[in-house]
Amino acid sequence: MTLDALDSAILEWVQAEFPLVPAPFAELAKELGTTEQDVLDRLERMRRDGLVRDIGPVFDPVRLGCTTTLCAARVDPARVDEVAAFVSEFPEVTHNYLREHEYNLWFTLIAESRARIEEILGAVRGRAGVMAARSLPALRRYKIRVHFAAPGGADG
Amino acid sequence: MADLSSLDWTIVEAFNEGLPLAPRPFAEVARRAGCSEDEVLARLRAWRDEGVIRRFGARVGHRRLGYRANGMSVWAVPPCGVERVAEAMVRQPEVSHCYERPAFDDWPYSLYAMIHGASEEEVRAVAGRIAEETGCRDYEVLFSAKEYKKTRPFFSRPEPGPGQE
Repeated sequence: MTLDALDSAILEWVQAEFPLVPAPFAELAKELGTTEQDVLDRLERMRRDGLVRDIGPVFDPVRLGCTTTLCAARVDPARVDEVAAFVSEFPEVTHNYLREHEYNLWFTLIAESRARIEEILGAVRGRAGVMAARSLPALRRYKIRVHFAAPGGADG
Repeated sequence: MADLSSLDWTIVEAFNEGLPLAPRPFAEVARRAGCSEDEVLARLRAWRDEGVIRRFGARVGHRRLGYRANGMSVWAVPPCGVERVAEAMVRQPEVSHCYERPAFDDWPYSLYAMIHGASEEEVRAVAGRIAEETGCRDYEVLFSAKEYKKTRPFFSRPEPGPGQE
């Protein structure tokens, strides 16, 4: 999908300045000099094309009482796809990636407790081909800003 | 820690489906939650102010936008240097996440910076800049070769424990 200047501006706004008002898309339209329907149509197109995954609150899981961690596993490359499939089945796993390193399987967990994290890690360690699996919880967070500029957008 | 009311949790759960693309989207979420549009908006604004939500907005498919290279850079930094190196990382606009995590004998890396760019070269260049600025050169960049899963977290109210509720 080719993005024009208005698409890029919308993408910028919906990431950074989403208005918490009853008619937010009308508000965006007013700011950007177009109609509410135009904004909705463009967002629907971006959603269909996978440019916008969804819109909603990004909760800090810790504030909801959850425990989170990043896990790294060393898995026999011949078995990593099947281990990855096993890992992905857990609803607590949000991201799961193959990376180029001896520690080749990396996944994030958002769980209700540390005990549950240990339970999941224990199950992963028990799978054929898994040589090691570690929890790497954040000791300190220095930055979290997930914001992607579209070409021709404010930063781009 | 969690100190959410029953209505708060109902609203949290109603947002698991995301905000609809509709003229009065919060009114629709309120209908899912069985409360008023005002209540939904008031909770969201309070949560945003209090940091219960980091932000309210769109999650973007960044690969579709052209950020084809996403490298997790990992750095071996002695504890006394962590603050200084983290400060240099945080300043790079291409870095979305920067965390300190525990290091081990077979994994000596304590600082992690996620770097996004159009190509691996671009990502490596950002890591190179951080290394130049800080003098910290013991690092690797691990690119994702396959994305097996990438979902939003699904939140639901905790089960009452023994002696609660």
